[in-house]
Amino acid sequence: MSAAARRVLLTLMGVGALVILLGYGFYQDPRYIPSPLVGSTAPDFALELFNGKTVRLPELRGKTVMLDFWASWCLPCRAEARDLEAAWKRQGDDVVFLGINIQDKKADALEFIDEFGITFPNGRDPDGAVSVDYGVWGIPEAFFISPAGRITYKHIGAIPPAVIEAKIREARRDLVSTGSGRGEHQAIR
Amino acid sequence: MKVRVSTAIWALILTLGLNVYADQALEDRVRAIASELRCVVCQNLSVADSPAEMAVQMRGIVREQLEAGKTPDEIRSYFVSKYGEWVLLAPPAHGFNLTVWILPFAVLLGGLGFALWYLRRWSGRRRDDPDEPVDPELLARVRAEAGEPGAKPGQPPPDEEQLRLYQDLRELDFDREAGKLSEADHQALKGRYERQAVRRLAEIRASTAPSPEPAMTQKTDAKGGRRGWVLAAWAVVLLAGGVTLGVLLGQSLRPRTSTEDSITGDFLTGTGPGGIGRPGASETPAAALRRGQEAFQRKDFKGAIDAFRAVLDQDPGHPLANAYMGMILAQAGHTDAALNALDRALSRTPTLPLALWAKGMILFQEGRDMAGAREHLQRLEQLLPAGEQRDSVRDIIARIGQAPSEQPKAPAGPIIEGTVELPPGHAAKAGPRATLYIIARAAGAGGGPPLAVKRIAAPTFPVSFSLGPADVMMPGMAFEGPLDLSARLDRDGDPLTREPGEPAGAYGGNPVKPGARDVAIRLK
Repeated sequence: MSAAARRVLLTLMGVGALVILLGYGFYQDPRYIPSPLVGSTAPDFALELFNGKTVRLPELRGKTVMLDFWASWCLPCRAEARDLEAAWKRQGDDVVFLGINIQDKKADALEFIDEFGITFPNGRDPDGAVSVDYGVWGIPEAFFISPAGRITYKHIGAIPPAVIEAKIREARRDLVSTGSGRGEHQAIR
Repeated sequence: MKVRVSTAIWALILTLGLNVYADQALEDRVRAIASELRCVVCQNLSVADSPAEMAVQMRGIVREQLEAGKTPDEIRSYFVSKYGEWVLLAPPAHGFNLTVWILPFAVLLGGLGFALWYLRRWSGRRRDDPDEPVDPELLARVRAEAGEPGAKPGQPPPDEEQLRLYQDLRELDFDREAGKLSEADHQALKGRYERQAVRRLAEIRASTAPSPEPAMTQKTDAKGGRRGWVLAAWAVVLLAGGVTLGVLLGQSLRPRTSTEDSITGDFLTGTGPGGIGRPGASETPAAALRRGQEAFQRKDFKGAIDAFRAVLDQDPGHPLANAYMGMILAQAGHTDAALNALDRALSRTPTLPLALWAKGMILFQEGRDMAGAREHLQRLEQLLPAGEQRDSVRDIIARIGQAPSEQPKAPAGPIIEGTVELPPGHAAKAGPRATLYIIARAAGAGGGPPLAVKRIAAPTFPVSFSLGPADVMMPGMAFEGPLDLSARLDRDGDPLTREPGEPAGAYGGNPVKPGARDVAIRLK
């Protein structure tokens, strides 16, 4: 190989490496935060529901739990609300849906629940303690928890009905998904 | 009675002062930790700087965890366990993250090296010395090739630079014949182009032949070496200038301390560490001290603390400011910090009455060192003129003489004692950072926060332990049963990360009550 050809090849290799690096950087979403929680034990919490009762996660051991973090001002939350309610009505007693309203006014949250006729239990996380415990950064954000108390799947963004059914089946068998799901979502405030 | 009443008043007013000081100290610690965490809803802002609701909530969690006695490392680990290392503004320097730390320096050094190499090459090409010795053989070849372009048999074909120089030489001849160039200019330019062409030929020959002519090479090397040193010196000067500028800028930028403050200041503008708009920013230590004493007398403890801190910012060993701060700290229970402040005061002024009185009283009231208390108060007694104050001090010294010598006590109450055993096979896998946690929870509670935890770093099994009121997680909680005891050996020493297969086990005789002995926990 001549010196000139070697120079051209070296230049191309250098430029190519830079282009690949830049391409990788542009492909990555700097706002996307991969969750380290999938596969680990779901953090315990006690949530005061809108009906005045309190639900504690350890009390739900033995059941498959779907946690959904939402807010009334979040458009993708509105988009998935009816699908969630429909999916909830199809489940048996071994599955619990739990809505966690964050960064919201109580009146707005109640109006949202009325508007979409939501019947599964919902409560507020006024100081963000549960949100931070679950590493929430966008909404809606759903966590599927197996009867053994392990987070088997996390989905950020509006979740399609077919995914809800599939992930509940997997959570029931304590099967941990390798990746998290993504859909249209909104950053929390 | 007089002493008792005055002590009670001091206790009251100084407790108020301490709360303010403690709040400020806590906020400083919250800010320090939050400034290392990345806001999850905004780009490239720390949790400390972000106005987002989520950042406010995260700061609240940092505050709560600090109040619960967690260390900054534990708090950082908590957030990392929730959001991954993404949440750290400065990624830890290990694994793939190392590239983030190393790459900029590698690129900087590489760029500097390339610039040096390029500059040397460029300056070598530009240099033209009419007296430079020229190899006659190469000169003859240049003249032959310039007059008759194209490859010669047995010679490598000329490269682009040679062809350009030959073309220039031919154009020179053409310009002279056309009368556009004088004879003198023609000779000068021709000589320069020929020398350049000869140099190029010599370079080509040097790059292909294993040993070039020693005499010429040595001379060229000597000149090149000198040039290299000059360029290297310039590079060092530029680098040092850049680093100095960076350090100076880093020193002169700071977070705003008030709405009137700017982000620049300190040594560049002489506004001092307090910043513009903060009381004491441009105040002399004497003025700040006077302000502090006045605030202290009118029981404005927040103002007093701010003023004394302003003094200590400028002179950390200031005796009077340290003495006042020591008194404020002492009355709210921060005894060790108070004694440190008073020691700083007495190390500079051993006869400072205020510091002697405060240290003597602390040691007396805490019951931790009666001899020390007596010594400090006797020194004070010698300094005071006859009168009411000296009588009060004598009264206290007399009371010290009657008081039994007491040692600080751990929180009282029954404890649980026992051992933790580990099967021999596991011990080898434990690793040097392994930490044993012995945990007591209210019986039947299952998960949730433990009541008490004993942490034993790098344990040697079997481990004897005692667990009692001194180990409760939340100050003020009673260590009472029945309790479920368990133990866990954490391989990396970080209680927040739990790896599969880590040895753990519960006591077979759970629940137990405080006072139990010979509790044997076997890890599996």
